[in-house]
Amino acid sequence: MKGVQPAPLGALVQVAEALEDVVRRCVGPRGGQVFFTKDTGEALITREGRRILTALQLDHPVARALVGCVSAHCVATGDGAKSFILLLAALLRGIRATGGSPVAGWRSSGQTDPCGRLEARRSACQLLSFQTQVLDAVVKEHVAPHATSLFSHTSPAEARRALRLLLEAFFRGRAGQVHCGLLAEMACDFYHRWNCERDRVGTLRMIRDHFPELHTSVTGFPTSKSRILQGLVLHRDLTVYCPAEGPTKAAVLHTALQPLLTEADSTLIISSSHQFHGWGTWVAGQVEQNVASLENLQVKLLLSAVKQTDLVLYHAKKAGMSVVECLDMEELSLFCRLSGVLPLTDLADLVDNAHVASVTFCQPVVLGSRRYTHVGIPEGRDFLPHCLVLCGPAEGLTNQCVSAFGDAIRVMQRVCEPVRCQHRHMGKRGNINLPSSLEKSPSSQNETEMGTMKITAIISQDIPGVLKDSYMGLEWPTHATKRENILVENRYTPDLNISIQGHDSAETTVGGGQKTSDMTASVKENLFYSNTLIEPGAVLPAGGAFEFLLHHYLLKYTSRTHCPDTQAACRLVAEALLSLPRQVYAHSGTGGHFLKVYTSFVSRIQSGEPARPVSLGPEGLESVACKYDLLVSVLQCLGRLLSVDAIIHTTALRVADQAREEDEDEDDLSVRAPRLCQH
Amino acid sequence: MALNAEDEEFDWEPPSEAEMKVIQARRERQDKISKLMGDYLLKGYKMLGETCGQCETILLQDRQKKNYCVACQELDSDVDKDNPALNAQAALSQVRERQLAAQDSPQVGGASAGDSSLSVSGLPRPEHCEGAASGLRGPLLAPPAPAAPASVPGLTSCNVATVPKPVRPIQTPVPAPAHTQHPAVSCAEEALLQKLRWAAQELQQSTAVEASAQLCGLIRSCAESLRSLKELQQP
Repeated sequence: MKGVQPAPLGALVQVAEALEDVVRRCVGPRGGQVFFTKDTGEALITREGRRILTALQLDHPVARALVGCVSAHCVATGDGAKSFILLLAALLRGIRATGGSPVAGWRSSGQTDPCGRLEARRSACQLLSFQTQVLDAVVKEHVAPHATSLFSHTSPAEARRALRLLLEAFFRGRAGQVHCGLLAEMACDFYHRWNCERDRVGTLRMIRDHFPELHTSVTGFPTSKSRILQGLVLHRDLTVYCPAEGPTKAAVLHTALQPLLTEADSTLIISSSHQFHGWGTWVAGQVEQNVASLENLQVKLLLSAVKQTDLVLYHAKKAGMSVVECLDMEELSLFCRLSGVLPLTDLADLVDNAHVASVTFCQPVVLGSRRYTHVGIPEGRDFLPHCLVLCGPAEGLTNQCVSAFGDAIRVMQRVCEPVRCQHRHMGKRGNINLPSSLEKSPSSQNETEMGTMKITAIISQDIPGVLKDSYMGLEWPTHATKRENILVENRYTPDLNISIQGHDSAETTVGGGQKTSDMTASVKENLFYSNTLIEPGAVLPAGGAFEFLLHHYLLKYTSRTHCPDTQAACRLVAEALLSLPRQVYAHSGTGGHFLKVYTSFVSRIQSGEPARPVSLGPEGLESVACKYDLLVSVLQCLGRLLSVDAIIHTTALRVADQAREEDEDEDDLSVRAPRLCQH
Repeated sequence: MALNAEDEEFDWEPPSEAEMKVIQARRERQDKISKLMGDYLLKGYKMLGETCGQCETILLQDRQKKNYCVACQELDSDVDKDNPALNAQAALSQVRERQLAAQDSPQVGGASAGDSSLSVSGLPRPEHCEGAASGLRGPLLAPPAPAAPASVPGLTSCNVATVPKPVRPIQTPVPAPAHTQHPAVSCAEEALLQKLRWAAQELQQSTAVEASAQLCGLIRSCAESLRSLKELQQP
């Protein structure tokens, strides 16, 4: 065991700056790409921030925690790895420049504690309180009014153009100048072909969840050959193909049609050949019966999860049915969901049509060097299913294209969801009046603050009625992969959860197991009348509009507020925000380009015009929700990293022992000494 | 904590010019370190969880499992600049300071032929400091950047008052009686020839482009100094 070492602010800054230098080369529409080669000869050219960061070899625990945070953020939002690192590094530089705490000013290093830990911890608390008190207010009242909505356009052509601009800006940063137009057009097309307009969030969520099944990647072709196919492509070839014209019916099988005489681990004793023949005849009879009952329901396509025997295939061919075998369970479940049927597990269920789906066509399709099955699914209630064929010249590039597309769908989903405000009265601390029992359980001031903040930060899902949410528990997690607030999906943590059934009763369970009932009316009010921070579909022009606006309004806010801590935090964040557009415009080649854009923007704001900053690059749009998420993520991550006190190095052999020790010593774990374990 | 902060706030003054320069220099150094570290990370080096003992920079490890500290091995140390044993410039400035403090009369250049450590105004020649410094430094891959130009003598026996600038030889015309300087001139020639020989050897072994360019500059300035010495001897 290398032992315990303190975690200084300097190491954190160094790590962040090194990673910033790595990703800064690829930022912006004119950023470069990184060329990776493996010893096996595989090569990959990418500018995707997450891919680059995870490919670096990092043994430093802080670096690994940071990359973990970035990965978690990217999984949740689909974009923003490079911006995350740039913003984080800029904030850390700001904190370091002010000597760790903005209020304390410049001190010689001899006077502060050697690692600046107290100062760092103080900055962390300041930033977190800034986020809950100031940021939401400023975004809602000042930045959001400048945004336009993707969904407010009157003509569909306008709406389509706006969506395309949004996607083009995204793909330009991800896939480069060459393919961004094509991919953006295809994504836009895909969105409209699915009829997402009827139920945007639900459909996009379904597409995102099933994206691996909804796309086929084909290597060896140029990217321009990518296309959208109607229906679903099943990634297996037809074992038996009987061409049928027009719409047919299909059944999904999870079991074999031929009955098994024995089960695993049992022995079959055949006493005579007569018995054996009898068995054979019985089996053949059963198969014929099963196929006949399927034929009676006019089933012409069998989609089977398991391999069917030759006897079954023979009978199916005789009956004119096509068979596809050995399909993935995920594909079958997607098919069932899209066509609204249940899979057949027991053949006795084959009496009604609940298990029989209708398909519009079924044919083999050749994609690249493989043959797949292409089935058409009729239009559902809210959507019309389509699938993607994505091509690329080499495997690495195809994978890049696929992941970019998947992330684009996630971004679209995020744009279409509203961002809800996390507490009612912004600008006040402890605005939810929880009963006093909450104040009893956590012992230290810090934990009470954390507790209050967490209670205020639970509302993120707009599911009416039942609200189940979670956050980071009262203990700091040892791995920084949890994201809280806006992007948390339904996850329970057993420490503290608030579940509200209906409008009548509410229970709170607090850390130590105390229960309180009957939350005060103000809590119920807050939870149900939470207002929207950012409307769905809010977009701003790309090229730094969000950063400029927020910078401007944060500086105005500092002049209005009197608390020096808040002022300092606002100034810190405002300065750090400008590092993003500065980096984007740094690649353009003309010196002082950033300043030109910035000054023209400021003059336009002050003259009262709506925000439309002119950028010399191509036009584009970016989503306000995604930018807000990014800022919140960075502040959370920074808060966690700054409050790390010590790094404990362990070896792999010891991890099992340590886990056992942790279970025994749960009382000793405290919020004040979180640790990053490295093995 | 709060009380202390209040007390100290009244005493806080903005940092002075010199302190700002130090802060700026430190920041630039940090930037350079980050850039180098980023380059190495992209080349496949691994970032370790340990820091260097001397400069607290995070260590990198290459494919051959060798640890590498970016700051110590590529950048000039923050502190070494001020160490007279390692830097000729620092040594010169230290001696000058001492002379100013002591107010000694400058020794005339009639020093014995063997004792060529002082020239007219009493300042030691930087190449001797450099010699001492290179002895202390031990084997290096390439002569460090500031040291090489600092070792450019650029000196004739006449030119002493100015600090030797990097690369370019400086020749300030200082009138001096020619005949009394014959032993000085000859030992100057000797020193120059020695330096020339040394530079030629280093040039053969050097692999870095910058170092080679600096060594060529040194050789050129040695040759020019020799030429001007020859002109001196034939008035």
